[in-house]
Amino acid sequence: MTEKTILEKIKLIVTPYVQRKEGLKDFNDKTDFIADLKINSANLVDVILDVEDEFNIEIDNTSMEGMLTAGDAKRIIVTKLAN
Amino acid sequence: MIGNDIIDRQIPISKNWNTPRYLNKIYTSLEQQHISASVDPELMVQILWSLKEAAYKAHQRRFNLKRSYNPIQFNCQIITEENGSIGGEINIDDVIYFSHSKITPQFIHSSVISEEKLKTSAKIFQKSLTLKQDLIATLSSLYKKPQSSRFSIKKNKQFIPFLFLNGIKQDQVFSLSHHGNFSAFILPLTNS
Repeated sequence: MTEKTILEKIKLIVTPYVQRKEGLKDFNDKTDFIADLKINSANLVDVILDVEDEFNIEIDNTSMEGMLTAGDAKRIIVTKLAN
Repeated sequence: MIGNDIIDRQIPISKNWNTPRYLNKIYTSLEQQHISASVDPELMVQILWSLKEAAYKAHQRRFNLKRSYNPIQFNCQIITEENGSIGGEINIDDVIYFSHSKITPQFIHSSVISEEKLKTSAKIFQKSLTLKQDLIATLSSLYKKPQSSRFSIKKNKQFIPFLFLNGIKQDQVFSLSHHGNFSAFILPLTNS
């Protein structure tokens, strides 16, 4: 799976939780889940569960701590898929 | 230090809230025991969440910490529970915070303080789109400066909001929160 595909899948996963839709227009590594997309912090866990299901990986609590941007999520997914 | 969090109870909680996968990512096993023993587990999930959020804000500002998504590290304990009023304690990295929550059918509002003697003043708004201006209006009367003084609120790179007066960063501590139709802020009451 290319990094571009992973990023596209992340965009699809987060979309239902996004409260600021214009933040999705230029979705890239720097897109911040809370600052740019206004995802409610309680829903970040739902994003993480959906990422686990989509990529068939487990995101441990240490990885979860650093999942603040689309790029953070992508790096964590790439690392988990490689293991 | 202080922190606060408001939850609009009209907004549905996550569809996953009662699954072990969801709970295990946010709540310690002791907290999960408290949730399942509670008369209203869904409400307890939200109350404990508001404690974690409020304590996160206080802890982050106090130690100027980098942003982190680590709710499970904030260990919450409910100490007193009566008619819409809940007292609790939150531990994070050997630091303790004391909490007070107000529960109504419309919202949950939690305030946390780092020292038990600390008094705070909370304001809760419904359908206000002007939380920062409301806070500035309160602060300008506290500072005995006219509203025309150039107060502003800006977030630093860790997303912690700070007050500026005529472009100069102030030491004023405060905490803001929004959710759905509700917003709130708290300030420490220094003269008590």
